[in-house]
Amino acid sequence: MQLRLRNHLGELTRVNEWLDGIAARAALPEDVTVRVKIIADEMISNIVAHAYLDDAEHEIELRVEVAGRRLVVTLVDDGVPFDPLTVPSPDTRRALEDRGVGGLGIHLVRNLVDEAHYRRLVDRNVLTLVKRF
Amino acid sequence: MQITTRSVNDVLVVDFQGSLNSQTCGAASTELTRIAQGGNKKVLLNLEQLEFLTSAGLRAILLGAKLLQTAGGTMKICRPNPVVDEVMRISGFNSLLHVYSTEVDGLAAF
Repeated sequence: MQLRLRNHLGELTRVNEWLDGIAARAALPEDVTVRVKIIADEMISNIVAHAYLDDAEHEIELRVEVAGRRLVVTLVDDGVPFDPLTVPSPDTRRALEDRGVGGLGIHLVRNLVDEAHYRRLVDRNVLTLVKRF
Repeated sequence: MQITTRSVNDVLVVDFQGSLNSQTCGAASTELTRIAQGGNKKVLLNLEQLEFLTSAGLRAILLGAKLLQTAGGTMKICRPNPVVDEVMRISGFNSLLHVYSTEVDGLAAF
């Protein structure tokens, strides 16, 4: 299943409704649904904020596949090349206000899934996240 | 996202409903700032009805907690669902703010 989104935060309402529909049809456990919503919010808001050098409208593709007890979330954007998996984890022992800007969302995503893969496919960033349940 | 408040003895309990994400963190931050500057010294956030929380939401809560601390108050948190609890642990948030599994425990901790 896939959803095409414009690069606006307002699209996240549609994302959450779409994910609720998938969760109901696939009878996903509630905590898995919530994880996917957090992942989608973190990664889409990151793309909207940082991926584009122009003010033009761009398309972000969100794919969700449920195969057995494995959920695969894929995000595709045509923004600047960016591998979020190379971002160093913030030092969570320090107070949040003392940490550098950013990095926390990606740190959360990496810790909420079992696998994370990035590849640059021609002019697109492709991030694949897998959660087993 | 809805935020409502109620008083339990001398503690202001703040009930969250919905999700605290990149879309709602701005409104939540405004409300938490208002609460932090409202004169209540003991503030307990009840997250029972909070479906999920992202890094943007964590920052909104932290900002409120800092403002409250500056005003001489204390913020505590209770009843996060398992994923919200996990998010707070992953981010190191629960070492900054005390988190309790029940409202009674949260209230008793002030």
